[in-house]
Amino acid sequence: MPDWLAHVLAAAILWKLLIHKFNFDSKFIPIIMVGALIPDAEKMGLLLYVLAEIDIGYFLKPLHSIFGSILLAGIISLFFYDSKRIMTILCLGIGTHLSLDLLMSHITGGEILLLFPFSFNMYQLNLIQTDNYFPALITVLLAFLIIIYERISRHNKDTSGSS
Amino acid sequence: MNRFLIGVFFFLILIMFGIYNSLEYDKHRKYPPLSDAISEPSAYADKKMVIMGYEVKDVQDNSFIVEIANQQVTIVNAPTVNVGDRVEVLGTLKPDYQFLAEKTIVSTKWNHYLIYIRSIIAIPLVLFLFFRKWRFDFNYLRFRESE
Repeated sequence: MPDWLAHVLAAAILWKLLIHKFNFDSKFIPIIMVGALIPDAEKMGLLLYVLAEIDIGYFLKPLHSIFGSILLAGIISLFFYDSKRIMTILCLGIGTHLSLDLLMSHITGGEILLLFPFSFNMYQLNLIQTDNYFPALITVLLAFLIIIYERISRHNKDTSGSS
Repeated sequence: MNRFLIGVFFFLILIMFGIYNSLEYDKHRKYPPLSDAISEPSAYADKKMVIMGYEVKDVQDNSFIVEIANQQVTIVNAPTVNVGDRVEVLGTLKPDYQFLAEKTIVSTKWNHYLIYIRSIIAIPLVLFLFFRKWRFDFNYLRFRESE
């Protein structure tokens, strides 16, 4: 997996682009960011193993698949009033997460149970090593560029409005 | 009530996914992990296996040592690594817990730690942005927009 910073920023950047294209609401940026962390809920197993030496890695692994993540997104969306919209946005976040993870490389040729429970095939494109910091660096730079662009546009709007 | 039932339904499917994967995963994996062979190495002799994300404990000439289930395993035909690096190795098990590496991916100690550091940074960022826009309504057990 790339780090969580790359995951949440990639999702936020996608939502920002959608805001510009379709005039979506910026209040949903944190929702898509949460969605981008859902597949890594399987990492709770790692935490449990480190803290209590309880190994439930295989049990939690389906969370890192399309259908497992969507089910968890479904549960989370029930804690919101507009469940259907929240569910859709969470799924977009899941999409960015799994797309980024597909770029990673592992010695086995693939470690993502993408289509579980219909297939146990593991997929990955083997393009970037998991400890590579470029995904984080690129997303941080893009996020800064978007913030700067928005500041400049707002400033231009304000100055043209006041003159 | 409807919401509760849907939640329970999704949760039960997730539990079933977990149980199904726990029972079936080993049958479908491409290569068994070396940890499976530690108690009975002869059963896995010359079989292609993997070591996933173990820490390098010691480095020797053209080989290094990792510890798997309290057993030291010597990886031979290995690239240059340093103590503390994390490795993924594909290879075959030889006698005396020697593992002949065919392919190795090395993550240096600091690059490995930096993954966790970058990940930890994301948590307060998401929490800050989330609770700036949303707050939890304890009466209805749902998040609503902050005014």
